[in-house]
Amino acid sequence: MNLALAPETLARWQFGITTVYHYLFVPLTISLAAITAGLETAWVRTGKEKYFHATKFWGKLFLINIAMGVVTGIVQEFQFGMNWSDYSRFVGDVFGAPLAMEALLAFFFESTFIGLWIFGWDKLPKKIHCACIWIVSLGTILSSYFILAANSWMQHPVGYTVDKATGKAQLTDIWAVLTQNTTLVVVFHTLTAAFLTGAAFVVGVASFHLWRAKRAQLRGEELGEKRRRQIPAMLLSLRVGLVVAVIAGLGTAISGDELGKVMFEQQPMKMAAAEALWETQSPAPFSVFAVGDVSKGHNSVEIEIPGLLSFLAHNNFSDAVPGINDIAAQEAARYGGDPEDYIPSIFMTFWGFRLMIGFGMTSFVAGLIGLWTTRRKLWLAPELRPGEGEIPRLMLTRTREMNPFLTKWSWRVGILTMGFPLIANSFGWIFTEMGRQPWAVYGLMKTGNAVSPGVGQGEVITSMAVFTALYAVLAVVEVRLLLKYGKAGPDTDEQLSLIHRRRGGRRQADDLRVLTRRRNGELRPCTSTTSGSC
Amino acid sequence: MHLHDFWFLLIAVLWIGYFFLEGFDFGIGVLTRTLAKDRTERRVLINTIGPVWDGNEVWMITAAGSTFAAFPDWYATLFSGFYLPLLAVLVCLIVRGVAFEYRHKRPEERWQRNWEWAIFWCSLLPAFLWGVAFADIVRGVPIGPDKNFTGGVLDLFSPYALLGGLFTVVLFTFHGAVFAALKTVGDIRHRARAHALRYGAGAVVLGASFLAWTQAAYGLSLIHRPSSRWSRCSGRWPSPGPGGRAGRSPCPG
Repeated sequence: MNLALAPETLARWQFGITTVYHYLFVPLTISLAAITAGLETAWVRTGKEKYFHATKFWGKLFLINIAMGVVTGIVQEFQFGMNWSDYSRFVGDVFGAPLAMEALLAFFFESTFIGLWIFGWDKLPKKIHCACIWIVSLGTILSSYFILAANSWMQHPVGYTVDKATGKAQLTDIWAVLTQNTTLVVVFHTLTAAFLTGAAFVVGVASFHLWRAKRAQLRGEELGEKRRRQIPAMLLSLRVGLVVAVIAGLGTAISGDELGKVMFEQQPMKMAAAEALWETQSPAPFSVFAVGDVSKGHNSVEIEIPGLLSFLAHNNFSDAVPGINDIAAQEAARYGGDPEDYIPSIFMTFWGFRLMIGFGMTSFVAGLIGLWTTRRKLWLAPELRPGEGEIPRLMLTRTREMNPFLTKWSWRVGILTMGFPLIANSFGWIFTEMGRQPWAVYGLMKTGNAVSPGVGQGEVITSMAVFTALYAVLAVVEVRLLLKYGKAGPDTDEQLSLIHRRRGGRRQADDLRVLTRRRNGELRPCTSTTSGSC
Repeated sequence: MHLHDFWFLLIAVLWIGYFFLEGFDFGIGVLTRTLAKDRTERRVLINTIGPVWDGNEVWMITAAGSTFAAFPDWYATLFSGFYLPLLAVLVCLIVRGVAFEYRHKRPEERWQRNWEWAIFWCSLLPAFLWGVAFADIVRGVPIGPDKNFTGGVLDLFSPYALLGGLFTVVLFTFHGAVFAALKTVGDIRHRARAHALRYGAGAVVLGASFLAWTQAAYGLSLIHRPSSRWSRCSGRWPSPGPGGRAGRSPCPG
């Protein structure tokens, strides 16, 4: 059969497409849940309106995201059985356990409390309502932990035995699966990257609003009432986003370095492929740019930083780092077959690794610059400090402001880098999954043996085509909705419902007819049971 | 009780919970075309399940996850065997979930109307397909020695399975009508009650025929004799029927 249309190839494409797509929503959901929870806590504690508006605004964007995250997640769960039934049979006992835990614990948590949060604005006391979003946030983090534990087991299987009679992997130590160093480091890396993603998104949207308002002010135009009232919530969001971006960006870099060291030990091939390091070298250089020739097993063009790769792998500048050719020969000797069978796509791993780092770190640096230039007090002449509710000047030094051209582009960069971590995340996953090939479970099961034997080409083509088309349509819908709500900004007409102005929060059933919105100066009673229809 | 008995019971409870809860969600989806007369009524109906639908759907996600963990072979055979019906269910659940969340996010009539149609079809189809799938599980499907499904997609749609699918659609719609009668007021409530009565009667008839068929074709004899299990293995079983080959045989080996 033509290899390009073999069920294995198609099933891999489908898994890749659906996973990357699913993972666009996951990190945004994780981080926006926590950011929303933080903002709501600030509101509960201070009672300031800007926190309320910011909570509502980011909460709404969070909800648009989580809807897509949940429904595309179901596909992930089902396709193990549909397209990878031999894999499921082999590893179900081990891999299924964290997956089932995720569904049992975290998911019930999330969906129950998300319902309470959405529909509880008018019905729950403030503090309980705020606790709901914290529980949702905890649920998203637990979910990611269990899923990453399952994935880490594929990268580095531990806590199992292979049953001699059935040839299947059996779980012997769930604790080892949940706490092995691969799991912990991957969780750290993935979560910090998720927060960098959310932070860049928040910074981007806030920059859009603030720069629009600032530009109007610079032109001498009067801001409309609505825009003016949105500014405090957006200034706050910008600040929160920048702080989170810097902390999370730093965390991503540190955890990424840790993860690299773990991978140099556990999957040397992946890291050699990431560097297109064909021959074992000591000290090994870090490759900035390379054009490889896979068939000949070396690079034709290369720019390197001497010794850096040794440092990344071993924390010193001299130790040897094994190359692709040596590792492939070793694996072939150990598992049988030709050395070439054990070399993943060097093009994808090499460039995936670089794009991941490049896009991720750009966001981090942008956050750092943003945090410095928009500072409010530190090392700033008193007359240049922005007042309350004033959009800050971008200050380079104590008295020196960026020139108009740089100012314009700094704000624009804030907006344009909004999606950079999403790109970094995608390439990170593509790198780590393709770098593990030809293995589905490293050292235990090859991807070629993992597909469903009973599922034909036609079926896989159908499902891949259907999902790709459906996801494309939904992407358009989702982006348009996010644009619409993102551009509209916080709804500052929204009033706190009556319950939150009373103490205790105890009320009669008919008091639920709360006035939630003021439109065109007219108060509209709202009795609907859903958030959006009233 | 062995651990696998416990997990089997747990999975059974999860599926029961799922059909109990998502069942009326599907029913409400179907009723948006059969009960609701205009867009306001459709909105009222959809709003009744607005807060609960995704919590209900979690039961299925958990059931599938537990099957994967506890019975990998069952999970692998079932999901790869029922490939295309499950694909359709997945697509419907995605579109439906997105429809609930996005329908009211824009005011345009066309936008809302399209999502409403999506809710109808994507409620009807899974309600039907789950019935077909579970009827197939009860009846048995052709499975080879390597535990993989060996039939074609048409083997899954036998008259027996179709009846099962029809039964679940009507049953869920009945449940949806009862739920609507509980959650709404006024005219629509009265009509929901009338609908509930009709769908209820239909569900009883279809359910009785489905169970009778199950009993007659695949059940143990009504008066259980110790010898009956043995006699089924000695050649009186399997009885002829579409798709009745392997998989459902209770005989050892």
